[in-house]
Amino acid sequence: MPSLTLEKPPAATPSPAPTASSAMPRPAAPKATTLLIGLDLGTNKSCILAGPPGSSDITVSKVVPSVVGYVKDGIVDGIITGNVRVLYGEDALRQRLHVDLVAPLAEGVIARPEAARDFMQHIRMLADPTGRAEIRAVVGVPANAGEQAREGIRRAAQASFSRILLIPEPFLAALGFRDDSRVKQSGYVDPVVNSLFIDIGAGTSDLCLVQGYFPTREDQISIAFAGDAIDESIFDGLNRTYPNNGLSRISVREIKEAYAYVGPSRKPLDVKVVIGGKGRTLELGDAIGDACNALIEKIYPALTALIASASSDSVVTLLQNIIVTGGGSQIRGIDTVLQKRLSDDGYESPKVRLAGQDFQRYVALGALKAARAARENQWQVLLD
Amino acid sequence: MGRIYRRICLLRSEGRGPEAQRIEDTELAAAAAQARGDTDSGPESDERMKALLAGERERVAAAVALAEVLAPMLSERLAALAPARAAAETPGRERPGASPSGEARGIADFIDEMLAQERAEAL
Repeated sequence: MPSLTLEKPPAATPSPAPTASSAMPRPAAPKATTLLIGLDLGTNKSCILAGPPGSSDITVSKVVPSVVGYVKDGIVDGIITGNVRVLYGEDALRQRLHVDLVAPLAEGVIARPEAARDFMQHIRMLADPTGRAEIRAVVGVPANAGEQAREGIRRAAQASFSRILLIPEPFLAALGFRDDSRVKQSGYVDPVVNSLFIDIGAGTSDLCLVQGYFPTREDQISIAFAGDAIDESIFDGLNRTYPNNGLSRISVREIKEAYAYVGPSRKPLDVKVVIGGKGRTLELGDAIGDACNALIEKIYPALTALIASASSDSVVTLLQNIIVTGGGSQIRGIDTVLQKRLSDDGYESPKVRLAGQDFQRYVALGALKAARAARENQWQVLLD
Repeated sequence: MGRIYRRICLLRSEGRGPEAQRIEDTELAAAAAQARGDTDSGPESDERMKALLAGERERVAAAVALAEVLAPMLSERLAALAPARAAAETPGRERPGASPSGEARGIADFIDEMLAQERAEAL
């Protein structure tokens, strides 16, 4: 697929004719200001942080479900606020009875290009309601994303952003997690200097060694098993135990987010749901535990592989700086289970910790930091 | 003859005396003999030859001095490029170890490394 971007400098291969523009109207007025966006384009949720260049201000900070809702034909006027034909994020989910919900991404990459373009346009309007700013966006991509996946993001973004930079998410997570005010303090271990990030999203679980240089392909592992796969596994377990329960995948995801755990079985784990209008209690201890523990079985070999690849001079400190971020960091016990497993396997004083309450923001925050630091010739120009 | 003598001077500067001596006794001697045979022999010819060899000695000494100045500069620049180039051009090679402090390297430098990796992979 020919690239639609033009790299600077030097001018790269000539670009082909631009594709048709999005259905959303383009801003007519000349773009007077520049706005920087740090974007974590997640399979399930996207985080947008925006601010002006040359400042540390964050003027926009939003977490948006990565979903587009196209209003179904025949919906009566007034049912949808403003009678708009396309809804996004929470609005789309709220109106899911009246729209066709489309997820622009699957496993961290663009799966539905038209919806992705519309979603990017929505992101643009969230960051810049005036529609007049020139937008430059740093967008996180899964570790070791191929050129086709990257080009998908560029194409989706071309009608919305004027310049773009694609950077692997785990590295951005390290940048975002870094406390810049403490970098020069003695005793502070800069996560960009020596750490191992485990970013568990909806589509992929990405692991990355970050050791003071930009991670190579060998420093990154992307596993196509993450939140969505856990949802699917719980859904299957639920249907085996409670056939015809009628619960939707969205409901299963909500159950997961409330009750997910790893480690020994926490049975009985009673979950109250409403099925057919009636309240019921389902015991889901094993369904949830088995699904989440399957994630550990995928992550752990990748974790030890990266540890093994670190230099002997750095590995002891590295073992003290294993950080779990992303939605998967909310799985109860994931830090202690991974740490215990490493310790039981003989690793020297491992310490696995969670990124904390701001886990949703770190990739976008790292992306915004990168946008602020990027040199002019590092940006890729997107053709209209 | 000048080329042969430069090689001799270079070998001596590298501490390879016996090898330099061998070349002086064989190749240089033969070249000098041929040069004397081609021109008029005599003191003037010998003086010209001595001047030529002295000139070549000075050229080699100057080149060695320049290399001593340039080598550290080049090796610093190559070290800065080495992580991205090594990872991109020779996959599987040993990665650079942890740098002592990330603060010496800015985010833009990391982006440069990333772009260099991408360009190398695209080739």
